[in-house]
Amino acid sequence: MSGTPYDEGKCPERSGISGPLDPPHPLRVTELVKCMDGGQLVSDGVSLEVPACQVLALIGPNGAGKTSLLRQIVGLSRPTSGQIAITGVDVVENVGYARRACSLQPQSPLAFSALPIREALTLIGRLRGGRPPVVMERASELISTLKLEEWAESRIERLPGGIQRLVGFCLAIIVPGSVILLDEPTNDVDPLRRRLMWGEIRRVAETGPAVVVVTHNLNEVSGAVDRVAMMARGRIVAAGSPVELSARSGVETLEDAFMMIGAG
Amino acid sequence: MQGLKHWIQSYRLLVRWHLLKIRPWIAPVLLFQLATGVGASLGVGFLFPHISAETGYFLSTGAPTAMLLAVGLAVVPTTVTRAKEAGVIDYMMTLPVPRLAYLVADLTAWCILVLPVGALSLAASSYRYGFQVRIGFLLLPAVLLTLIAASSIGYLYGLLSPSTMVTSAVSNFAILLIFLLSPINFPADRLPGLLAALHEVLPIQAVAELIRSSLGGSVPGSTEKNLALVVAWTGASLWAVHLIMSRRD
Repeated sequence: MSGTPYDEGKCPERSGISGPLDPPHPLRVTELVKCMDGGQLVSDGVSLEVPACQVLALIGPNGAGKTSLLRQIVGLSRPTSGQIAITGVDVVENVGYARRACSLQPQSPLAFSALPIREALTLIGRLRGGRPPVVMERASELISTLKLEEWAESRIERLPGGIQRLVGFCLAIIVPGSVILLDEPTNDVDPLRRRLMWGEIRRVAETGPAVVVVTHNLNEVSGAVDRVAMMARGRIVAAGSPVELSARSGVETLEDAFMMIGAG
Repeated sequence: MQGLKHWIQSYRLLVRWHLLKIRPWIAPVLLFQLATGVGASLGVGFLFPHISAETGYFLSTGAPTAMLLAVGLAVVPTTVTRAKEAGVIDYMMTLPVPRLAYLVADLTAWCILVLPVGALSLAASSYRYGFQVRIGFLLLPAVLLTLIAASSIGYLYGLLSPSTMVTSAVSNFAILLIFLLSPINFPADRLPGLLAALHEVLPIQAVAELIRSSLGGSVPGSTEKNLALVVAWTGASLWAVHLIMSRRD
């Protein structure tokens, strides 16, 4: 996406520590509260930061408020209070900026499912402001990287669920914004392509964006993300690197940590 | 200038998306639209034992209106509610495209789909009832305005409806309203007073008269008044749709 501070694909050090000359974090959420009409608190003082080039896994039990958080970041839902800043811009008030800056892979079925994969990728890439030759080249690259060649000209709705999920992922990153939000991208995807997908997530992150991945596949998360934030009942109950979270809980794996912290 | 360029570019791509979406079913959809249009033109004739060319002209000039209204008030809302339930509209709202461009692109796709069918149904009834169609310069604007007005109203209740089932029920009522309770294929003075008064403010009678007069038929209402009423309904509906699409939960 043009106009972001990350056009050149230069990442700051992956330490997660940013100095005064660094550009503002692509994503900064501060004390976010969202109370639904029925009184349900889906975000209860959520704060998190995702620096450029980092991948954050958002984990937590069903109904913890992960998707609700993504909806607020991308501007589909208005927070009751708190702030969301993308590259320093307040997107609670400036929803248009959120739409330009965020690339979302939603959980729901694809809007473009009646189209063949390549056509859908080309169209969405252009809708996101990509130039036709660049978009077409990137579409071919993604189709090849994720081994989708045999379905490239097939209508998405006729493909297996896992392949549809992969296409949703491709649509989100064909012309990535400075924040990429992936809501359970690996569900139903076979192990080979899950691995390819995590590789691609990492590759895209290296070009500059902050990536937030909502996932339940905790075993894969450990080696693929920089940080993990665990949500429960609308709150971030633990955050850190996968190793830190496990160590803090005195267990070996992230899944065990999830069981301990999530249950608590 | 940059904003306008972006709007047009988005609109163009979204029209393409809407058309590509329906490409696999375009043949059966066109076929059944045609059957509906021609069927409406010819079918109303079965209600009367003898039809003069004048009555045939009246019925035939009402049929395209009824078909355009049926698409806008019954077919469009069902597709909109379904898209809303599937998360398609939410997803589209996360893309950097102007909301109004999305809506206008959808309406354009419907126009492309429906207009040829309207023309063919008129030609069929002209043949059946033996009259010459007289096409006035206002026909195209009147037809476009009718479809946009009906579709934007349909869009509105498609978005507001809580489920496809409710939308289907409202759409069924809309069909009844169009074919049996609106002065499209019969004069307004046959309606009970209250219903006739209601049609003074609803856009149905106005669009019927606009299309009929642009096809050379005589109508009781003034073109200016009808135009003003339809434009007001279209503007209000588009504005309300824009507001709803901009709303955040």
